[in-house]
Amino acid sequence: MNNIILRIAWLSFNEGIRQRTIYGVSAFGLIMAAAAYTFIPFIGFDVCRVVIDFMLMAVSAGCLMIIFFLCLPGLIGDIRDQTVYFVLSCPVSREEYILGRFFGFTMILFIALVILDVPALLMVKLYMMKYPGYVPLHFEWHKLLLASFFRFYAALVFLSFVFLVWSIMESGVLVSIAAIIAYLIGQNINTVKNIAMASKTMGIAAKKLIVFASWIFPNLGYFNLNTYAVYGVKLPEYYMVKLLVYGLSYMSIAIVITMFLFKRRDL
Amino acid sequence: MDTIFLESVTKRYRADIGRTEKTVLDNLSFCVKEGTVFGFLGPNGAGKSTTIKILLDFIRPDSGRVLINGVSPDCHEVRKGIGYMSEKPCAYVNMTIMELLSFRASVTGAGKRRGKGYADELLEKTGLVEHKNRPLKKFSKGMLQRASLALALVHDPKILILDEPLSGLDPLMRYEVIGLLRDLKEEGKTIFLSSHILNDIEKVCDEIAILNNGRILFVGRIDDVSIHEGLEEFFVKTLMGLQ
Amino acid sequence: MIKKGLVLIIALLFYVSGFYWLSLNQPMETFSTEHMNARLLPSVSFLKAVCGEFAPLVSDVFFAYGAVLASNFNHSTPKENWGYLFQVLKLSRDMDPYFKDPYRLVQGIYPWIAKMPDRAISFLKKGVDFRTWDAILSYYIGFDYYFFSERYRESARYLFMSARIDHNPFMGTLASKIAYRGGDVDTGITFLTGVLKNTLNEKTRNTIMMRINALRGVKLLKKAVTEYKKRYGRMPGSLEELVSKGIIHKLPENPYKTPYRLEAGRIRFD
Ligand SMILES: Nc1ncnc2c1ncn2[C@@H]1O[C@H](COP(=O)(O)OP(=O)(O)O)[C@@H](O)[C@H]1O
Ligand SMILES: [Mg+2]
Repeated sequence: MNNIILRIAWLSFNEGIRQRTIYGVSAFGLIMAAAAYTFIPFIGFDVCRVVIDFMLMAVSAGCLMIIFFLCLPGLIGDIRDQTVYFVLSCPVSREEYILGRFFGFTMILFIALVILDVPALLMVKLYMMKYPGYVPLHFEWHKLLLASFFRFYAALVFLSFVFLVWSIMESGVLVSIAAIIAYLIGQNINTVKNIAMASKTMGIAAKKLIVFASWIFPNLGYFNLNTYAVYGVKLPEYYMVKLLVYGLSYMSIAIVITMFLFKRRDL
Repeated sequence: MDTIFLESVTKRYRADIGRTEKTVLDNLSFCVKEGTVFGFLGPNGAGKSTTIKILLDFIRPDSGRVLINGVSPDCHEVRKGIGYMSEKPCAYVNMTIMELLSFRASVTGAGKRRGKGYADELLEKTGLVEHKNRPLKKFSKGMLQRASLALALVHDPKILILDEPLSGLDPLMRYEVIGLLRDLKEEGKTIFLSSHILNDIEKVCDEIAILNNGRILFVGRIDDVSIHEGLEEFFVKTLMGLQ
Repeated sequence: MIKKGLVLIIALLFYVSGFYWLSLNQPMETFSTEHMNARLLPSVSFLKAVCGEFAPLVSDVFFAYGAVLASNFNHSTPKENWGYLFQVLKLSRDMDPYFKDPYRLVQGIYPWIAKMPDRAISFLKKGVDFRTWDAILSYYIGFDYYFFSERYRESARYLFMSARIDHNPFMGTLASKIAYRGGDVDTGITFLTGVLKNTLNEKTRNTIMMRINALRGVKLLKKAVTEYKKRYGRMPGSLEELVSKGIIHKLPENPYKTPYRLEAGRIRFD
């Protein structure tokens, strides 16, 4: 990776961190931990499972907040407030700008992951000490960490899609709406596809459309490793490797298309 | 070889919701020789900023040829030698001016050449030394304008492209900036600046072009103009088609 | 300044009183059983298609709702409401089929309080496919089949499964006995005594205790019938004959209100 991309990434990272969205996300993590502490004992007996699910969800939601409240406005603002001129008036190619921006956001998301993992792990530990009888049989810490890492990874894949949408659309509002829709579709396309394929009443055209969409949108549902984290349910062979490859190739394709479109665009 | 060269550049904005197709630049041709200070004048909406954005490759013309030092602007290396100051200050507002300067310096490769002392010198010149560790979002409009100027100068570019460098500055600051521009001119830099504040332009420019509705109405040496009538008078007459 | 303060105070007064008044007029949430129409609940596929990664949380929410409902239900709760609760718990189960609590709750109430063991069995069967490491689910099913439906072959199958999961040799032998001899009294007593050891709930314990006592009576009577057959070479016409012929002093007391009776050569207690 070249120096210029790193510098843009660092700029992007610093600018993002100083917007204090990350404080909000940290506060969110703490609030979720407090909520877990107060409410979960009333929800059920299987408390350890609930707390793990709950805190993993907090990690996801936190990463999502970073994307929606920091990355997306950052990208939109680059065009609207013309901050992109600041970078591009230097001898920097548009590709380098896109990559730098993406890596900068990646770093912020990673920080968010670390920050959110702390209350998550503490809470899970606390519940496991308080209710040793309910510790899931096959629970292991590294599985929990892996599951939270893949939540972060899914956020990255989604972020690459946000970049793509942003490079196509001019209006900030439209980009935001499209990102929300894409997130909902991405989360559920996998389930929807399964339901559709099993359905006997659905027409072939509709099924084809769903399959097509599942190729276009990031299949975020695949990155959900809750059952693995909680119950140690065996994943299919090489599942994580496949996930990594899927995510990486998806991001690469999305980013390359983004560069291609961004290169052609008037700013 | 001309430092900046434009030949029949045309730019149209496509029709969109609530907007008809508009030709913003119409067959624009002019050139700027090395070492001159070129004033690009025109009323609001004439297409000055659009032209400048084309020079920096932010916008692509629909037709025509643009060359900077003989190279098309879409080669990003060209911008190593360009200092750009945008119309409205644009920079990441949570960063301090010092950080932005060092970003610019390092990305342009000037960091090693010129050392840190130069940044301080620049801040001194633009009157921002006390504010060097404050984030840009705490700056007033004039301070931002000066920060923009400092950012344009940090890598010691051969060409300066300044979009309305004097607007938003108080008279004292304007005076100082003009002095700065003069110094830069002495150093042999090529300066391309757009403006509608004509009095100040008169003091520094060698050549001017007058633009209206995307068309060049006049290009020429300023001495030819302001000897028998003021620049302002000439400008108005040109726009009204009397000249 | 004073004016502003006055406005603030008045606004505060309005706020406090208005809020208080609002909460006064809010009917207390009593989980009135009138509007429990199972058709108003969302469908599983819809929820699954919408919730994405938050499905486990939705599962928790439905479980919590179901648990609150269940705590308000009792023997006289109408059938439709039990159906509604079943749908709620099914949603919780299907949003996260690995979640243990819905299974436990269903097993805790449907066979015992709602008297719908078949529902419990069908509910639990899904869990067996997911919680493959969990011996308790197949054990529940085996128990339900044995205790409530008297379908011994199915019971044995699930008890076997349970025994295999947690390598419980005792349960294994028991299951094979049930498979072989069905409703055999000794097997029943051993099985239920084992169950009793792991049961804490007082009501459930009583119910199981009752069954064990009934089975003990049956065991006693069976012995007497065998004795009768040996002596007279035929089956007694009724159980009372055992007393009148002096084989036993008196008929044991059946904990299930009705007296023991002889039906087609088998002793019944229910
Ligand atoms: N992105 C755009 N889409 C459509 N029209 C534009 C866009 N940017 C500028 N214009 C139009 O182009 C004309 C020239 O704008 P500009 O170059 O900014 O003028 P100025 O000479 O004041 O700097 C204006 O009439 C403006 O409305
Ligand atoms: Mg302008």
